[in-house]
Amino acid sequence: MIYLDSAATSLQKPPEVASAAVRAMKSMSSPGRGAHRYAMDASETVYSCRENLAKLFNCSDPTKIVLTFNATHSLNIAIYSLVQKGTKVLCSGYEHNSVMRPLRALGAKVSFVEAPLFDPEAFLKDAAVKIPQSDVFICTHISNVYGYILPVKELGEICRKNGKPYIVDASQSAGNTDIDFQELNADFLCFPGHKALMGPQGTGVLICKNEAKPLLYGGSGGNSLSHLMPDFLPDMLEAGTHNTPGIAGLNEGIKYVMMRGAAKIGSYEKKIMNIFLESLGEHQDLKVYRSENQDVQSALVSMVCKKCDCEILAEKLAERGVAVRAGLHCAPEAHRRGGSISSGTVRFSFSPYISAAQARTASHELKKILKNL
Amino acid sequence: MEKIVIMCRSISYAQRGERLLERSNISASIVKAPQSVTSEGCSYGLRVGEKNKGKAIVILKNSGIRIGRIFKLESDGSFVEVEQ
Repeated sequence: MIYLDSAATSLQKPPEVASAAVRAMKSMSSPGRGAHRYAMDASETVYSCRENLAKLFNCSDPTKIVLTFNATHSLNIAIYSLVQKGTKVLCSGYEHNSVMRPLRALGAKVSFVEAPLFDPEAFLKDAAVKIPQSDVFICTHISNVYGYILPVKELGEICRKNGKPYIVDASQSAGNTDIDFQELNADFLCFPGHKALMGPQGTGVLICKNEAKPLLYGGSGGNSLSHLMPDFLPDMLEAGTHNTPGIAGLNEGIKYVMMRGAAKIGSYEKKIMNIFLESLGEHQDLKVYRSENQDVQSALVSMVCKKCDCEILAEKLAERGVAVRAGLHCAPEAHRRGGSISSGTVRFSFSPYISAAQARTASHELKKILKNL
Repeated sequence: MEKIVIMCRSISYAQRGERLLERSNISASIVKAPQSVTSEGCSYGLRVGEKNKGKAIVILKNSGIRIGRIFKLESDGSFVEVEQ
C-alpha cells in the first residue's frame, strides 16, 4: 500500500516511536504520582518531551508546553480560554470542525477573512481590516483541504499591533515547517502529535504564552489538599493520568524531526508531491487545487473528478494500493472558500517515507482509473 | 554533606529547576516531600547541598521558578524548615 494520507495520521514512523511507547508501557507508571523509579522514569520522559518541543518550536520555557490528547483538545482549551457567548471571533475560513464546533457551542459571533484561495496578499489585506474589529483571531496555518499555507507570522504581527488574542492551528504544519513560537506572536499554538511529528495517536500539544482556563478538572499530582486546579502551567491544564506511552513515542518522533529538520522534511515532501503531479499531468476530468507558488502550497493536494464521486475514486485507489482521504476532511468552511463544498475532494498528502517511485506509481494508478471512467 | 530541600510548585518546575542547577554545576535531585511538612498536599522539591543554597535560590528565582518553603534534610530523613 502506498500511504498518501499523512495529513490525517502519519502511518510510517521512525521505529523508535513504537519501541519507546512499548518500553513506557512496560516500565513506566504515571508522571508526578510518586517518587519510585517507575513514576520518576515517566516524569523524566514527559519532561524530556516538553523540553524537546520547547526547542523545536522556540518556546523559552518547557512548563508552557501542555501535553494534550490531540489538536482538538488543544484547540478547545485555547478557545474556551478566550471565547464566550457573543465574543467576536474572526477565523481564516480554513478551519477544521475542531475550531468551528466549539465556537458554535459557545455562541461566538463568527466571521471570516474573505480572500481567494492561494492569495496570501489579499488575505492579509482583508485580515488587516477585520482583525481590529474582532475580539479574537483564529488562523489555520496550513489548510488540511488544499495545503494552502497562510501567512501566520504576518497575521501575528497584525494581532500584536492591535492587541488581539491569536490562536494558531498548526495541525498540518507542526513537524514539516519551521515554526518559531516567539516570532509568531500567538497566544496559543495548537497541534497534534500523530501527524508530521510522527507520534502515536492520542497525543497533542498546546503551547501557551500565558495561563489558560482548564477544560478538564481532576488530579494533577500536586496541591492535592485543594479542590481547585493549580493556577499555573502546565498542571492547570493536565488533569488526570498522562498518556505516557504516547508521549514517550512522541518524544522519539520529535527527535526524528529535529534530526532531519522540519523545513527539510517539508521540502522533501513537496518534491515528492511535485513528482506525483508532474507524472499525473493534465487531465480534462480532473480539477487539481494547486498553487504554482511553492511558498503557499504544502505537500498536500486536493482534487475533484468531474466523472467520479470523490469517495468512489478513493475506494478505487485503495483497491489499487493507494490510500488517500476523500470527502470534506471535517473542514466545510474551507470547501466553501475553495468551491468544493458540493463534491468534497480526494486528498493526497505526502510524508518523508514516500519515495519518488511510489509517487509515480500512485499517479499511474490514478491515470488508469481515470482512463476507465 | 548537609542537604536542603527547596519546595517547587510541581514536578515540572522541580524538573526545570534540576536542569537549570545542573547547568550551573550544582548537583540536584528531585524528592517528594513528606505529607507532614507540606501545606498543599503532595509536593515535590529539589534536594541540593546546603553550601549551594544561596546560589541555587538565585538561579531558580532568576529563571522565574517560584520557590516554596525550604527544609534542612536531617540525617534521620526528617525535614526541618529553615529560613530562605
